[in-house]
Amino acid sequence: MVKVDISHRMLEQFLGKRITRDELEELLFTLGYELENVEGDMWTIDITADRPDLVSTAGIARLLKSYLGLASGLPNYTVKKSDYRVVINPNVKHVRPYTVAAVVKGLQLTDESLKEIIRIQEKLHATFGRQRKKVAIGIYPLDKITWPIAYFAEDPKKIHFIPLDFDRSLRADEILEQHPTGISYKHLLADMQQYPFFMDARRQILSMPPIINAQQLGKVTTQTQDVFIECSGHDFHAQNIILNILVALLADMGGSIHAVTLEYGPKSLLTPHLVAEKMAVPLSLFEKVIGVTFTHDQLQTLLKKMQYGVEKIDDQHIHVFIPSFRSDIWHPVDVVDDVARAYGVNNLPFSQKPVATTGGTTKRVQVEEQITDLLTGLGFLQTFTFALTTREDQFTKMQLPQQEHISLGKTADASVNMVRCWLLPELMKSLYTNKSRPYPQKLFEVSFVVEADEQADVRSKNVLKFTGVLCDEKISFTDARQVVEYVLDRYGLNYTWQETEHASFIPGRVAKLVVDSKEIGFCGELHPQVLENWGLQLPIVGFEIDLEKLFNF
Amino acid sequence: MGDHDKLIATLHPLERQVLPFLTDGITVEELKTKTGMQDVEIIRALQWLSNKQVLTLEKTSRFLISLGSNGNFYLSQGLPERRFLDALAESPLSLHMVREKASLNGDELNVCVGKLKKMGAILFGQELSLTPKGRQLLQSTFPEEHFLGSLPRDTATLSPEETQLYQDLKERRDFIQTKEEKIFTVTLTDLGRTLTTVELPTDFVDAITPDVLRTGVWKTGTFRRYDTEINVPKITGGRVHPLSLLIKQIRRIFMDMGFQEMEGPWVESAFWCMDSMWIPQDHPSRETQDTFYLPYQGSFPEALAKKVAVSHETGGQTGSKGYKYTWNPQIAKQLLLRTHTTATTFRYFGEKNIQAPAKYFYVGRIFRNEALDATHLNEFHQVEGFIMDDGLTLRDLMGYIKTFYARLGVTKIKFKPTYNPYTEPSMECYGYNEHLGTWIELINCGVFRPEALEPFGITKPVIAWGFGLERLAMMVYGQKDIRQVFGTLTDLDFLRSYSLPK
Repeated sequence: MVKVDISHRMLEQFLGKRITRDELEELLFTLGYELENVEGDMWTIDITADRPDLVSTAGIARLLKSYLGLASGLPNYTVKKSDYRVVINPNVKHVRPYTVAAVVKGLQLTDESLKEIIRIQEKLHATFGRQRKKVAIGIYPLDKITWPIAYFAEDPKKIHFIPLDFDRSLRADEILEQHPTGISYKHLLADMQQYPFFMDARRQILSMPPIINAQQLGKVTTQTQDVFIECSGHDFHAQNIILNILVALLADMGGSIHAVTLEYGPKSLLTPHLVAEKMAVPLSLFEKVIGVTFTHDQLQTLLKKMQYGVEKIDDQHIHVFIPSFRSDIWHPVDVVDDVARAYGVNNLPFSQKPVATTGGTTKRVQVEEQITDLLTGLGFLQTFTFALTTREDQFTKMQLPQQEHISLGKTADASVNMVRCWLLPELMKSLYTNKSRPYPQKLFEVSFVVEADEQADVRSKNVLKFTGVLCDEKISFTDARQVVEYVLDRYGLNYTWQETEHASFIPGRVAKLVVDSKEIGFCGELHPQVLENWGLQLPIVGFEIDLEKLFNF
Repeated sequence: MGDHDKLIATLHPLERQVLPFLTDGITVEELKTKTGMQDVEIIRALQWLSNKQVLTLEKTSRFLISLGSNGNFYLSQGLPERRFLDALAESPLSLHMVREKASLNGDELNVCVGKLKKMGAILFGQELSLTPKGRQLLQSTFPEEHFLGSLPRDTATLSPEETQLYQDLKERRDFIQTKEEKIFTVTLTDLGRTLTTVELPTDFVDAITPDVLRTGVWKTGTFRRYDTEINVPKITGGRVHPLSLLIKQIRRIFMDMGFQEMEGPWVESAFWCMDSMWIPQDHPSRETQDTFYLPYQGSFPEALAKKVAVSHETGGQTGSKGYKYTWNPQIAKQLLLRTHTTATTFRYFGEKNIQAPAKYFYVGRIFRNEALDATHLNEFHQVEGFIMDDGLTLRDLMGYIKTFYARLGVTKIKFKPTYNPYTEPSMECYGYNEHLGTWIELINCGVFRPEALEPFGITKPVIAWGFGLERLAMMVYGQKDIRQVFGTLTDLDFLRSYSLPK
């Protein structure tokens, strides 16, 4: 979800009609968005990450106007020819390979609309531009620029300029250390030998993308009427979309769009490229996906509501023209989705086509449910402990040396660093959490641990374990072993107990369980040192059984 | 049966034992002598009889003063001040000598000097000597000695002088101690007066013991009647976890609807968790703040990966434009803790050769790299179901969800379109919560994209839905803290006492 702040007043201006909170809320819900908050004139809307064209009041207004039939169909933007040129030096290839650009003239910016432009720029940077890595936007007052503009890479030690909102000239590499924006986005350039720059014909620096504009040539104010816009980055397609979104928005604000010639060596091209892409959609697809038969007229109306241009090819296909600011139409099903929205999904009658299959569950689930029945019958409480835990809990407190386990990388919660490789310590933690609750406490869990497995494609495997603990003033080895045997006997299994050593248990009070000469678990009295490590003051007995080995699921 | 007889039939053996001896004002002590019962037994019987309006029981307290351990010692060995005077009886002595002769410790000496000086019993010169007052005291009894000798005493019986002495002695360590004693005063009601005169039957059958059954005394005796309406002590027992109970209910619904359960590993590769379902490699949901990336690399089926690569890059034969980037196998090899159960759905597509018609479901644990608090867990459960068959549409998806929801008790639902990288169309489903009077978003659903299915050779529509289990559990069990419905920090009191979902 992306939060977009819009001005209610500007929205009504764009729409040319009044719209109440309830009306907007319902409209947005139908279209797939949400009115999240209303605070005075500032209304916050949740949009989805696939629609960067909706991050502005103008963008929302454009969709609503179309949907409401106030201006249906493909929005039409004309691009005027011009002599503006940006010359791209091939040396940007390994730094920040592409730029696309446009000029918009005749803007009458107010404080409000200027703020909106900055807000949109920031929102696009943060979301679609992936924090400026994929795409970064620069907007400059046109009247200060001497054409043509050069886009090139250079040793940062050789370039000086005054960065935006700063009082003195800095060397390019110093900007990354001293300017607040430089510090924030330092990681995007820091490792490079050369940094990218825009410079005009008088060798004045416009900006150092994706970091910062220059104070002289890169500051837009309400006095600015004409602007030069560029989007630099690593994804030519995404850059074009962002540029299209911006120029459409500025055109909606009253500007006129002018083309810029980009000279990539011998190749040159014109941007912005506001030509609607044509896509053939089989008519049967609408019915196949939505389950409703639409007439051609109906489809035409619904598609126009969603800003498409429509052209009939034959009885089986139509051509749709996709607005040039849309980046989320990969496949005809995406067009179908828009038709479903325009029709209103809540207007679709429910259907439940019979699909004849047999229900069932897994062997593991069956065993889990059987053991759960047996153990609750013995007065045990079932627990659901966390899988994420610490080496301290899994090994140190249990007096064990570290064993192979799945280690976590960087975690938001500092209290976890591994995935559990056995369950017993987690039940100990549960006992600790519930120290002040009435005794006896008898807990069990049938759940997975993760063990390393070099043969597996994920280098590990889930292993189903059955673990229990009993804690009371008087409790001993026998109490735990009886529980295990109660369960094993219900499955009619032959087993033996063999004396063993396990550092978590008292020597001479721990045994391993052997079935078909396979070791499948152990049972014992927890060592007083382990109890002390956990801060527990009552004796505990416990067991852990490997159900994978026992049942060969 | 008359009221009296019925009442008599409910009498507990202890009550019957006490009843004949009851008179107004009789004390527990007296009853103890007469009945030979224990204090607690008598008090319990009296309380029960009071509940039955046989008597009124007035509870008062008295405070008994008795000797403390030091008090006992000094009473037999002499108070320090007595020993001090005794030491001086024959001749004046130095303080040091007095201390030695009277065998006093430092504290005792200080108390004596202060006290006797104040009373004018001793004189300080070269040496210490007795005054006439002191000699007089030597012959008489100290008030303290008298008081200690008179113990135990009830505080209510103390004269004003004795009260002062009591206060002073309380200051001296372990001289005396005060204990509260409960006094029960019995006053018989009219009913009680009648009952005390009635001859109680002697053939009562109380607990049905093997002996009672063997001898057959119950055949001629009268069963004691129990008060079956009073509170009984609560018990707790073994129980399934509330989350488990909910999972069982959901599993039952799916199985009733003909769905087969799936299972899959917690540790997954980015390939199965993201790439295989056409999530682009630069999608924001892949970022580290949402996903537990593990410091390991895994592997995936190469032939399938080639098809996935094509699907990402060009859209393959689906009619899609694709993402127009170069798919990087290294990114797909990255191991992680799965962020959704759809990873397992796609594993089934890739490994189990699922053929239509098919209906599968899964309730599994998933992981998100978040900090723990009352509304966020970094691991929780996701429920997921999919149906694969010819002719399935968005309307069928909505219809199946409606049936599923109805089985959970929610009948009013509505849908909102949304975006999801591997389904199109995608929707969120809201259920109306009658108790809260609000719409609550619960289910995410959609139709799998052709680009996501093509690498698996699946050409039939696949519709799917999923939701988080713990949020539903919080609603079902009325819990505000998500850590109560899942995890190691859950309170056993809740596990023992949670109410069953309606």
